[in-house]
Amino acid sequence: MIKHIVVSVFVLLTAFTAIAQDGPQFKQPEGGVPVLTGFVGLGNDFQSGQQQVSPTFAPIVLVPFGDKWLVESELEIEGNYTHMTNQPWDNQWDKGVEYAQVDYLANRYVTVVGGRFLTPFGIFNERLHSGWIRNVQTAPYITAMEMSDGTGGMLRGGVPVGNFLKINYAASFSASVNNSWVGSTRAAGERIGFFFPKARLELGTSFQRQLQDEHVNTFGADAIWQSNRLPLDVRAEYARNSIVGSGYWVEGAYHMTEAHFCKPFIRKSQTEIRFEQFFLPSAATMGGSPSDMELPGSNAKRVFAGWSYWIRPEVRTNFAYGREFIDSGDHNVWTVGLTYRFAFPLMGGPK
Amino acid sequence: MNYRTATLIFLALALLVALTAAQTSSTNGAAPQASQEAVVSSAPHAQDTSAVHQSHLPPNFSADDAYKQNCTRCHSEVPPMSVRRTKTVVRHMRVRANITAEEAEAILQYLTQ
Repeated sequence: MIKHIVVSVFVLLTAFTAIAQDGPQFKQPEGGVPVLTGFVGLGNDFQSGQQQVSPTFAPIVLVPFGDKWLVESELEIEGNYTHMTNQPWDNQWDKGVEYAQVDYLANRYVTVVGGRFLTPFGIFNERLHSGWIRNVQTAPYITAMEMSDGTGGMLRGGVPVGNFLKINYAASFSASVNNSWVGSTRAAGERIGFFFPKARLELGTSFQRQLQDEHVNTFGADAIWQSNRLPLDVRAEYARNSIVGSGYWVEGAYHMTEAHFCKPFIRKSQTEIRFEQFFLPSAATMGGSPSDMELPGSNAKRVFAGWSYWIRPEVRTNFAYGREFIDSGDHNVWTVGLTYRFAFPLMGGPK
Repeated sequence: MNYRTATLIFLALALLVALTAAQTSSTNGAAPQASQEAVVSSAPHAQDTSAVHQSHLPPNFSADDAYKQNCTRCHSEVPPMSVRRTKTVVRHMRVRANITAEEAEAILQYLTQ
């Protein structure tokens, strides 16, 4: 496998070198510049008898080549400092490459992606997983049962169908890679979304098939709706896997841009609420989730009510109160977070 | 699909990308500079660019529509950036959000005007 990857990388590098020798296509004096973006965040999670502090650093490098190419990569380093009552602090650092991919914009409707990528399943993993984008810092239960990364190839894009519908799609194949930084499972999957611009409604379905060990399918459905009258977003996602379980989350966010009091403060605020449930599979199909899946050991539900405030457009604070209802004991969950999203040019000056 | 097939598919994909790159390189050798300048110079002039690609966008489709329909589905706030950084980030989002070329161009106009 390593041999094939090395050959593939060599072929790609040779092709890039050939293009570079053409000269002007790579210089891009008026085009986009390589950018270092990403976020730095600090999350605090308080539960009964436990506190967890999670500093996160997630740099993203974006390097455009010519009119049709983009090399992009995200590294995520996350610490977990945990303190249990009457016990010393324990810490663990997780690091990994979220994605490292080469994108080729084949035409206006098709993009070819190769490398390591975020798995196109549902809406949370690809679109909302970044700490500075998600509304509630705690990830939904069901994200733990979806494969977050793949290593291989993907076709994706969007196609407008008249004025009333736009279809977006992604189909991927991932090889098995055993590496602590870029591990992935052999799998194939797809997501197709139907976006209705006038209603500002997107409905999507996802499918994923694991092609190693026990072959198992995961199905998903998702929705995003934005009100035309109010600054209100509603998002929802459902996923079902016959072995590890099923679940859903529904989230609403109201951006208070139309408030008529304390405008300088309130208009930079957003209130959020999320409800989610997780169901273990029936005893007949239960196979037990892999130990690295952070899923509840029993049926569970959780509700969060949160508030976000943008100190600056790139600095966001979150506060959320939640309550989890689970067999091991219902308990409260408090989260406090601060994220700073940065974007610097890697060359080409400030403009 | 066995292990060997998977690795062969990966290799084939890499070759496909490489061949496509080589083809792009040979066919666009003289043109890219001109087309690129057209995109950049049109950034502050929404009407000019929308006229070029009008056939691929719905009637009366504005840069504002493109931003509201695509960006705000996930982003509550989009921090302002320089034009050239924005251009790179918009290309990244074109891939991530499955946006068409014309929508991406309209979003670039919205963010840089």
